[in-house]
Amino acid sequence: MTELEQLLETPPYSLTAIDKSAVFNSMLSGMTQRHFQNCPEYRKMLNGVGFDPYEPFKTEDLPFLPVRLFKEFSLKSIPDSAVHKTMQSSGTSGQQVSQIYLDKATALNQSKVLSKIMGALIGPKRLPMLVIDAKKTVGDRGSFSARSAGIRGFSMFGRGVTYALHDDMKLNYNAIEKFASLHRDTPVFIFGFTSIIYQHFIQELQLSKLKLPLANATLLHGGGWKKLIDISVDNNSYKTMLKDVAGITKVHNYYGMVEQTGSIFTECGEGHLHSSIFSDIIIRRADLSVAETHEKGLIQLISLLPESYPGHNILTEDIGELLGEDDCSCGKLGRHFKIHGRAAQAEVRGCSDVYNA
Amino acid sequence: MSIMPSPEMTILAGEIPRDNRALQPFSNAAIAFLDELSKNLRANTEAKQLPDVMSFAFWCRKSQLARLKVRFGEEYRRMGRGTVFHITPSNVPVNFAYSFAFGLLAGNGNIVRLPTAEFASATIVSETISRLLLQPQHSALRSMNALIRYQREKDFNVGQFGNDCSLTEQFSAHADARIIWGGDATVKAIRKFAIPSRAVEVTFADRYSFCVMDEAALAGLSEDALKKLARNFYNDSYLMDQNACSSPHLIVWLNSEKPETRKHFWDALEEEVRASYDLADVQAVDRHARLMGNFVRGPSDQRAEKSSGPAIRVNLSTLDDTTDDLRGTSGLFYEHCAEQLNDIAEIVNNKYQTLTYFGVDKDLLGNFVTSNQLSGIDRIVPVGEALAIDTIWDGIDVLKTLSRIIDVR
Repeated sequence: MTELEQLLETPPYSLTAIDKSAVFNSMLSGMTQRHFQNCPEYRKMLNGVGFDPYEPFKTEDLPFLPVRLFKEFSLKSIPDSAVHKTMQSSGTSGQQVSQIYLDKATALNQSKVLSKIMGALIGPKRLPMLVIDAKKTVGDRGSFSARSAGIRGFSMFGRGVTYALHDDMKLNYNAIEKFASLHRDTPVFIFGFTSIIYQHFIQELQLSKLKLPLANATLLHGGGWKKLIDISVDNNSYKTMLKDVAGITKVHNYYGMVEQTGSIFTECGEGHLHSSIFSDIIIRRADLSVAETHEKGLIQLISLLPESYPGHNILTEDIGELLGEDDCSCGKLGRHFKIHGRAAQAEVRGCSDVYNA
Repeated sequence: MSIMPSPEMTILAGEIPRDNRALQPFSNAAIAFLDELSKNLRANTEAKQLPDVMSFAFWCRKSQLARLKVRFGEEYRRMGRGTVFHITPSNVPVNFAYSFAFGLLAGNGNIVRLPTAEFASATIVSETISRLLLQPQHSALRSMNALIRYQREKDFNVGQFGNDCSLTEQFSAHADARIIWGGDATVKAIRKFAIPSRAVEVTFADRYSFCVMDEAALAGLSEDALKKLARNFYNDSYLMDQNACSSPHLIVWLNSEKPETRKHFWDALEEEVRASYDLADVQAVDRHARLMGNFVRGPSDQRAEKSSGPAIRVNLSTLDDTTDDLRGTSGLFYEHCAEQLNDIAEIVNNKYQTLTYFGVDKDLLGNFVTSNQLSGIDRIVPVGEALAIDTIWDGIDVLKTLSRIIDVR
């Protein structure tokens, strides 16, 4: 049994820091060596910083790749013939997008790990599912945008998927009411993107003054707060609004990157995001030294899943804060943290004009 | 000049020149105006907090202008060319003020387009210029000079607006001279708009700069002198986040023997950076992405001595004609130990602008350029003066270019 297979047999929030560190040391070492051998770009980077993957190392000393590099280079550790599918980061038109190359094994492991994490949140059984988005968003099978991939990925945990929005993103009251009355007495699962839910569900319902009977639902949302921070909607007010318009009390945010699909971080009842046994988080200061607990800094993410591309250790442009390790009052072990949004754009000086091409 | 009135344009100071009247270089009107501008800025308590404004104020005081006038010489009778249209860079707040002063000193009327982003430094200077131009003693200059602002998007989408002529196009069509700052992409975009056949153009393209230091001279420095050198190097590099054309990306060490000597320099620099520089999170990510990306894009002999902290440094065992592709940002430097200066002659191409030096004879450096027939390196200045903008810049005497000769025999 491989180390990952063993982990898949282990409850996802059950390892103490010491046990987890032993697993990570061993697995990260193997992954780093494989990427070093098979991805020439990655090898150049490790050589450049003078990191020898064949020597023992501490997890925090393993070089991390800024996510931007997945936009600048085609980073993969498999031959082209083994590429099973290519994931893309979301990005507005014109912007470069990340290209993440998955082989069959990595794609399968992503699904398995996501199942474990979701099982801990909504239970082992597939629940009736309401997606707060339009069917059109996932319509094109060839499209692996982050949004369609997200919906498709999470739809594995639901059955009889109902889309809450028409193709023009207007709220489909009939469909939602039919869904609610059909599943009045059973738990249901609602999924959507944070800003889409706010704009097309919460705000629509607030305007129409209609209340939806979805008290039996667990709602999972993710994709970033960027648009909501600008209008001062925080996690608490978001939850209050969902309770108000639809009676939903079990609202969970998740955090994850397309570079590390599968090993997502989900929010517990205390409002903290948790790393599972498949992932970890380190907060760094601007000088890239490791920050203290409760000190805000850049978020570095580690995942044990990326086998087909060197995305096991990445530096994001998000700001977070570590809240503790193995000590959340929800009972889950592992590091727990919160997100403070994207790092503020700095007014960088320079002679050459910068263009947003 | 008849410019179609446009709601898109804001006039921040002065008036759009009505004709192309010019003055003689270093006219009394121009000197009196710039000196008064200097005095006003130096007396402004808010401006005193802004080092870039103070540098400009210091640069345009009367005694400094007198020195420039002497250097300009009197070989020929000269006049300004007429009206100069200036496109100034988006991320150097007071660059527009120097560009304006260059045009003024050469004897021209000026239309200066400021960046759309509002910087405190730019606002103070443009407001002061506006106020002074309204005073009666400067009325002659008022009708010849305007600071303006408008969005630049249209410049990059030519044709999309049908017959709706962009302002840049109109100002260009009437200019006697055009100055374009902002690098290759801006020059390329603005050049789509024709200037009259007789008009001249001064363009400031993307450039690359480096530094040569003598390790033996470094070894002999006192603690204080080392600190001062580090401070000067800091000013050259960090004041503009290492993104200025004249900020160094590479240090070439001569007479190098011991890494410890160089480490003294780096330690002193790190201390200066820790005390003075605020590296934003976004910059930290940019810099790290640049470091890692350069490992992939660049040669395979790159070895980071230090890959995080106040000053990242990467050792290069060999240099070649692509070394100038390795650009740092916010404190990322490449270093190389050379046997002798002439060994690096082959790396220099016409992208090279400023060579800053420490402990090396400047005439030796000048000869290095001429005897090797190098196509690049236009400035050779001591460490600490990389950013000191001058009327001679990028190898061009801007004042002479912006004025015409009246050849009387």
